[in-house]
Amino acid sequence: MNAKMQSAQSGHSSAASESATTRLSRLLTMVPWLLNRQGVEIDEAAREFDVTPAQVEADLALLFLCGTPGGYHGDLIEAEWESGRVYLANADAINRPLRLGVDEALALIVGLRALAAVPGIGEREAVVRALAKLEAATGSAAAGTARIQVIIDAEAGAENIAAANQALAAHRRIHLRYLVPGRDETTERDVDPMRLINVDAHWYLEGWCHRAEDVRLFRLDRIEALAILDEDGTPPSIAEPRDLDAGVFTPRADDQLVRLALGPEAVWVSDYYPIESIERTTDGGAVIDLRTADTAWLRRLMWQLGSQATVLEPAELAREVDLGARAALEAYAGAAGSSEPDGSTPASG
Amino acid sequence: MISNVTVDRDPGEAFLRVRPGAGHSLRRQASAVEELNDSWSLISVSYTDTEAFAAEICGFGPDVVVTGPAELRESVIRRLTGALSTDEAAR
Repeated sequence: MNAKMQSAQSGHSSAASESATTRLSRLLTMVPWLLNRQGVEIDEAAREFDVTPAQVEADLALLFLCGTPGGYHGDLIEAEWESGRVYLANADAINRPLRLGVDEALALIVGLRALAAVPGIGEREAVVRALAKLEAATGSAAAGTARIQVIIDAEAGAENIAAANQALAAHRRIHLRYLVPGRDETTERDVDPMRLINVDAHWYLEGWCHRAEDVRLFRLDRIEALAILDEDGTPPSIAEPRDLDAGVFTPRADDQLVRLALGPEAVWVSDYYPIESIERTTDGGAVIDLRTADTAWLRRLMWQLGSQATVLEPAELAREVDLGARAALEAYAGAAGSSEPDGSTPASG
Repeated sequence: MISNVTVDRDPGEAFLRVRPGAGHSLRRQASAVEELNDSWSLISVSYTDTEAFAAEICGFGPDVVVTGPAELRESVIRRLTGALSTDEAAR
């Protein structure tokens, strides 16, 4: 994910130059391969790794600078290829087999299983192979992990994840039809994808939204349609990924302050949304302060909570909640008791 | 991370009137949509938990009106009445 993010941000790199991850992965494979074939010809190594002999030499020059921390001569890999044949020495650090504790291995198994379940990931075979090796190595200790399941948003369309991944990899702009439930709106927007992330079991696409002219998060199960455009999708340089450690809602200091009184059955609101402060009341309820830029979702929340919540501040929001509830109730006035599903009489107004 | 809590109740069928361009998430769940006129669509949506579904419907305010069943309708009316300013609700 990081690699994708960075490559998306760094703008264009020429198609001919390879990514750092591709090179790193070749270097890591190259060391044990060369150690087992001391004196192999550079040309043969080049064929094996499907690169030019000059690239092999460049890789060897880089390996020469690699090793354990310290950077003294004895810490670094020694590579010698002047004669056209390659000799490596002192590469134990990279050549050493990976050793994991049981707890580390189990954590990796659970994580890899979750990863293997993600639709449209490019390296699925590698994930499955690593998983098989880990399960074999941990033996009976891994038996219990079958009971641990990481549930990653099964509802998000697999096609959406696969398409978002594809757009990220190709740096393509996408067009979204996106549902904003807080405002009950379906919106159309062009987005330059930045990364695909899973937060609290939901998949989100983060990208530069050309409609909002800002970075936005799109929950994949709310994307109604996704089309990859034939246009470059490199986000502008000011597009900064948001810090999501605190969750996906991140209020800003200049957002409007709202004070709500919650009844005992509505106190869950204080756990669900980020709040500034909470005072418990004697009846088991609470008074909370929160900040938000958009109050449309709050109006909806207040209608849902009914008598279990009241807006204390601002007065304007309290009035809007009241007016909306009143307008909604008008549709029921006079028709009370009639529950035939004919629905043929539209309410006045 | 608990993805779903199974509710062992038979699903009921709700009939809802929905304003044009509103109730998107309800329309997505609808098993049938009928355009009544320029101001309303009639949709049918299956649900299991009356209170939870009533809360969802209340979130749309004046844009969604329950036609039936009565139980769902009453729950929506009770919630909306509770959302009126206190002095009004107390009358």
